[in-house]
Amino acid sequence: MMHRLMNAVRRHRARLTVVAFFGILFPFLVVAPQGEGSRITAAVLLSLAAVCVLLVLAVNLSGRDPDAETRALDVAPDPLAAALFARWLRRSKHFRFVGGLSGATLGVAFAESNLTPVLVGLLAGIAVGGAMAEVHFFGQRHTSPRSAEITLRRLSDYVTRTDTAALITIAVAAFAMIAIAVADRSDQPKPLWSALAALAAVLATTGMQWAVVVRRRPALSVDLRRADDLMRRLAATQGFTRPAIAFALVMVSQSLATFANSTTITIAVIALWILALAWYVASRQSRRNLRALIDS
Amino acid sequence: MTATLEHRRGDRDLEDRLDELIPRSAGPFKTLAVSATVVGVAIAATVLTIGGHLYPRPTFGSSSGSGSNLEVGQARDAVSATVILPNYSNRAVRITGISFGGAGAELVDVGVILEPPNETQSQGEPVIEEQTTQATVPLPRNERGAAPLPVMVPPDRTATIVVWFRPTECVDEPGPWGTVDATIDFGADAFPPFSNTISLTQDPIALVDPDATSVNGGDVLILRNVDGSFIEVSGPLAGACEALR
Repeated sequence: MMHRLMNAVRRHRARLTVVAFFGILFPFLVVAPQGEGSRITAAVLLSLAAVCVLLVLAVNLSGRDPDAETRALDVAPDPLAAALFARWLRRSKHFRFVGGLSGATLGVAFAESNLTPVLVGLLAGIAVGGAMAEVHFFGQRHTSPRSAEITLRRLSDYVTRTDTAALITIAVAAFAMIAIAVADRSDQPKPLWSALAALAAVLATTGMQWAVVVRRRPALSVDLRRADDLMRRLAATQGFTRPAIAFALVMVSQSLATFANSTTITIAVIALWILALAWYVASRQSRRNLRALIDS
Repeated sequence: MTATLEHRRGDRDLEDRLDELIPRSAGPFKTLAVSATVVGVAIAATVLTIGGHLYPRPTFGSSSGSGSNLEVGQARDAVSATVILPNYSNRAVRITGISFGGAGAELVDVGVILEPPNETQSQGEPVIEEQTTQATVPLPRNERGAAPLPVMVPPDRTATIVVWFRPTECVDEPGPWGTVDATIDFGADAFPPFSNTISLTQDPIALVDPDATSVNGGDVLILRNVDGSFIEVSGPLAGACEALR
């Protein structure tokens, strides 16, 4: 019963969000101006909205994703790979949601009059959540005899060239920003700290990519090994690398924005934000993104 | 029956094989509890940070400004300017240091006036509170009783920072002049022992405009002399030189 309710809420979350939105908006815009008599209507609508919000939030936080199997079957080459994919999709999506929500919440604490800290917190949270999903120290069970595969695995087999090029470019830009900030000896700490954050994101992402690629693997059948390779590829790209690139790009833009106030800088900052958005969109678990990555 | 059992065994085998590659989900309720705890910690940290409980941030979400008047000190050895530091946080903060950035002037001294609470202010009964501090150096004070540092500023109270300066040059450069940085913490032995430096730069002490002509437009500075008379000055340095001559 509870599982059915959760699945239904998960499937209809978009409709519930719309109901919640209007449930919050309607009392303020239409009901409240009509005076005292409409208070009960307003309270009922707000309660309905609160229930919708809490249901959607609870289901998302519980890690339910009934669509995961369908999406996995769409892109996986065989049922075994689909089963593995479905697990990864569910786990990664859930960790990213919890990370993103926590990061955006923390960002509110620093959002004085603009949304940038909230967006930065959201991207950082998604990246950290995606990386945490790849940490398998807890909850992993071994039922078969211990074995290990000793095949040589290289980073380039799992990470796309575009992502690698983006990470290298961001690292170079961050180094340049740090050098300029140190040479400038400005009283403003923001350029230096933003550039350091971008560099730290690149280093942490590269380290995490290595961790995913070299993570131990037992001796497996060919089909399962192929599925595991594909899962690692998804993890090392969509899982955390792309949100981390989006975060690092925003950090570089923040560092750049405080250096000088000119039209060129403004255009560069806007371009970096657009690139960050593109990388974030590419990190989403849509069928199109999954298919593109698997076909590449 | 046998087929179903075999099917189930096959499923279990598959699950076991997958367990070696990626951990099994902990179940919706346990996952919900852990996730809600993580988000709850983030919410708690956010609420504490916004309230100014984790590190001192009294001016968060507000704007502070400087007074438009300069005032000649009683001993006619310095001119004072004022900058506002409101404490909008939910925790008392202590001002431990003030640095002054004003080209062509040397800082003589600083003091803090704790303004009356808002309720008293709205009743039109200004209350001047003099802080009991542990200052070791006698400080010049104006008639409002600015106290030496450190000074505790309770929540929802405003501190007026008084900066006494002496001009080393008498020509004002056009543009903004005079910024104040305040170093604050939660007090001696308070936890957490973090300090923060706030730049009160949103409104510099003076915006020097050579073309300013009217006091009504707010473009010129007003300087109050020791005898209580007011004069219009074109800039803080020129005005201070004239008053201290």
